[in-house]
Amino acid sequence: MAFTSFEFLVFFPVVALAYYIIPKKFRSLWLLFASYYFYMSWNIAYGCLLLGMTVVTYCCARGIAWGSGGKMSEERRIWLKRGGMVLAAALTFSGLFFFKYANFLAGNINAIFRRLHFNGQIPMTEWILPLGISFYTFQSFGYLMDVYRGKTEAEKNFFRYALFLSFFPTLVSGPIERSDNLLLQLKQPERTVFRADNLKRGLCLMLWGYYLKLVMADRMAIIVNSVYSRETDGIYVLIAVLLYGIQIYCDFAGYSYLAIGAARVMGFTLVENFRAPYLALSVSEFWRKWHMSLTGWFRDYLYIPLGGSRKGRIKKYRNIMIVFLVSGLWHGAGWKYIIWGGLNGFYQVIGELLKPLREKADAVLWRGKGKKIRGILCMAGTFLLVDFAWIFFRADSTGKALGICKKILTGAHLSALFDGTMFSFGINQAEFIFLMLTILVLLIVDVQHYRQKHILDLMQGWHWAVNTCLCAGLLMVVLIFGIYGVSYDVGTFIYFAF
Amino acid sequence: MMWERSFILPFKKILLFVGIVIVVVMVMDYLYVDDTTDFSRNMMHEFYGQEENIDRLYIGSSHVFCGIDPTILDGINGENNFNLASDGQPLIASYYLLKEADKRHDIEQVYLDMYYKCTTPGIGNLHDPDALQYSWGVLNQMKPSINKFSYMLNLSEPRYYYLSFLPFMRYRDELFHRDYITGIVQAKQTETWKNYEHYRIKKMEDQEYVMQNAVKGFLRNDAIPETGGFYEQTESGWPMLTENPITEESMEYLLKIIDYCEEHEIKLTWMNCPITDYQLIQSGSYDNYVEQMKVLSTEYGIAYYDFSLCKREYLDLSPNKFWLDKGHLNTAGAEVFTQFLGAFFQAEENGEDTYADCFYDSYAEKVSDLEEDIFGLDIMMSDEYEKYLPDIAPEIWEEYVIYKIRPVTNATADEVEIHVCKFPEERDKADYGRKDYTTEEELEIIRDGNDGYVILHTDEKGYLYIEAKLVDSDETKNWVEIELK
Repeated sequence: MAFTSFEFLVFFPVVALAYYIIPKKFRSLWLLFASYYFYMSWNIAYGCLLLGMTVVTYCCARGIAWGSGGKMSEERRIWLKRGGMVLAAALTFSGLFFFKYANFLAGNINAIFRRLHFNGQIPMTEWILPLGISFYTFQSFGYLMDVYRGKTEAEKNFFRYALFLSFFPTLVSGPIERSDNLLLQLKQPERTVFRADNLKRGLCLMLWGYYLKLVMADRMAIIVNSVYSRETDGIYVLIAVLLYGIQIYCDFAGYSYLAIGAARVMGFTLVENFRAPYLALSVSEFWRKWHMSLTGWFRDYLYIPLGGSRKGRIKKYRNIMIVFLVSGLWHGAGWKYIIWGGLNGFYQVIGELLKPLREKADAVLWRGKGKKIRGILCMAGTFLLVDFAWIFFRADSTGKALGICKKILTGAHLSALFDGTMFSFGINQAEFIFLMLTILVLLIVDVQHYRQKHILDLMQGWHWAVNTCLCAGLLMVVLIFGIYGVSYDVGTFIYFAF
Repeated sequence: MMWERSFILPFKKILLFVGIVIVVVMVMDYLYVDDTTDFSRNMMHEFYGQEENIDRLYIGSSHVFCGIDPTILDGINGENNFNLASDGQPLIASYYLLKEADKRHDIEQVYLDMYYKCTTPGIGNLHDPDALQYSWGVLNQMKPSINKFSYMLNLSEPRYYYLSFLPFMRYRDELFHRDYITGIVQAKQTETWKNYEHYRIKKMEDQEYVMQNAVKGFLRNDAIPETGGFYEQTESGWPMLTENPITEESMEYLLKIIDYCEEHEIKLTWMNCPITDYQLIQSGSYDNYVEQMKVLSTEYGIAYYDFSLCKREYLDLSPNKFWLDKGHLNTAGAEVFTQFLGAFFQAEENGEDTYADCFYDSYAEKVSDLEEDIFGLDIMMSDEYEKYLPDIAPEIWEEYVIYKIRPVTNATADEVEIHVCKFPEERDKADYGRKDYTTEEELEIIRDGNDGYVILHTDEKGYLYIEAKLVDSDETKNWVEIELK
């Protein structure tokens, strides 16, 4: 039951309406039931897996909390806490490892065996990666770490904790929530009171999410998929690569807005996940604005425990590389994802190394109004670097990604733009112009967002008639131009694969 | 002030929001909904304009609006007859149209056309997305009412409601096609469209014809098939009628129609407008359908008449001059059929036995009673490579095309000749059938029963002339020239 499915359009209003109608004391249970129904609509077995993860992490957190507070010596307490945390981490990640990485590891070991002419082969499993496992594994581990660090108390109410982990808007593709945000809100009964503001803002966020996903991302996917699936001139490969960067943004940000909006309708405020990332002036800034809940998770639970930037420059660079290589691996069990993560880490290390040089160059080259030009150039440069890395992310394999790079560098001919091939990738000239207009709208909204002012906050100062027209207009744009229904091959969310 | 903010403002917002949505939907409907080629628009307009009570209603598929002229029937039975038929009308549409008509008129008698393609798998799977289009023509034109709303709700699964409630959504394939929009807008700006004077029909195969004013739901059309008889080209042949072919969904609405007529004391008659023997033989076993209809007729006590089973001494529509295509009568055919239909029902109502011996018991009986003839040609692409190209390796099969030529006939294989010639250029159609080809131009044909197989290499271009005739006949009635692609 994806957010863009018909089933969700029925499910969500029913859940939200019932949520406000039933007595307050049952509302959390209702959401828990709805969340499991939502998850199990893909596969009933998923519910068992999620329940297992919930029971294990709930017990581990309670164990860690008990270890922290029992009457015992300090040494024993530390040993017990650390031991408990290690055990908890092992149990939490075992599911993810088994479903996501076991085959990757086995495949690589088998490849080494073959090289060494060793006859033994590790058998591969045929398990399908459960939807959202990477997200809720990270969310539960974050909670355990918070309990371990004493940042949050171990939740005593099992059902509340189960809802924190399974809350349907965040379950499948995030944002990866924290105990000090969502879990805290679940404890606040005043959250469950109906407020028209929440409903309006939530629905507007969802509408924007649908716009990004159905009108933009899925339309760009038509061109990108078409180019990637056939032999064509390098110039079109370049266009597809550029478009993919925007497609994945619209796809994932669209999902996040839908999740945040759906939660908001029911009175919950989820963490922000995107803040105009393609307007970032550097790759490190990009990562502070892209998939912010994951970046924050890596910062708090990997980068800082590794020492962060406190133990010298070399270790800082090492830590950055570790974080991004792990991030690559989190996205998928494949070398192409590791290369993608490595490239993003590498950009940042190089950026850090060249920082003094850049500062000197800035002082000489860009003064006064020139700073704006510098900003635009930095944005474009950042976009191109990030986009280049997406090639590895999108391609079927590392070899194919290298083939795409080669094609762009050696097989691109500007003249091919005018030979009529341009509009043979599934959309015609008028639709292409429409697509460019949608990108322009996104750019305008993102510029406002970059300036720390979300478009919805900005709209609060506008006349009600303008706002109503904008909302009705956006709804009609989604209805008319969205890629859904019988006329189209409807795509799923890219991040469902992770 | 507080009161205004709390109550008036939200109301204004909702009003503005809904207003914008309605305006956008209306504009989109005008730009995209193509009712310029839809007969139902004219028919429903005339239906809603009927001031005189409709006594006898004819509902069903296009065979009704092509084959039954209500003005002729008016003269015969002295009552007001009206066709409320539409293209490929499924039984769900017939049911809601019957209710719509009965709401406005005191209907005495309903003749329900039971065209087999509208009740069997295909259109007969009423709620399948592909079958919905056969309802949209009339649905678009029905006036807002609870009946229409109920039709929309029952037509499809909820996931397809948007197609029923927002008509322009069906045309989203054309969203960015300027030529399409221009064509629609231009057509809608003509006086003929505004005045419901005629509707234009899209190009069908290689013919384009404009059908003139619908009068009481009857469509005048003077076209006749091109010389050479009926033929059809298909990739994989035609679906065959199985035993008890009527779908469950069709049965559900057939029973609803029966119940409705009973409750409202409307006399119901099932009928089938005539169809060419070419199509009926093509359907595989038309008797499977006839059998099921007869069983249902007995079970529910509804009179059932299949005019395709009429003996030629009563109703002879065999000459091609009566047909628009293989299934539809043209104006001349409709006149003959309607005269017969009027007289037939008059005799039935008067209890006369003039037509007691009018029908064959089965279609097989009719075919065996007819003189040997070839009714048309089916040209199919065959995949029987193993059988006909045994010496060719499977990996290069795709370099060959096997044409299967099936003369639709009641004659035996020995009595049918098939000739196939290849020409580099398209010839003047006047030359077809004159046998002005030389035997050198003829291609080798592999015969298997009545079927003939011709094998060509995909590189071969030009035109294929195909003809079939009875061995002892000097006349060649069936021929066709197709382009090799």
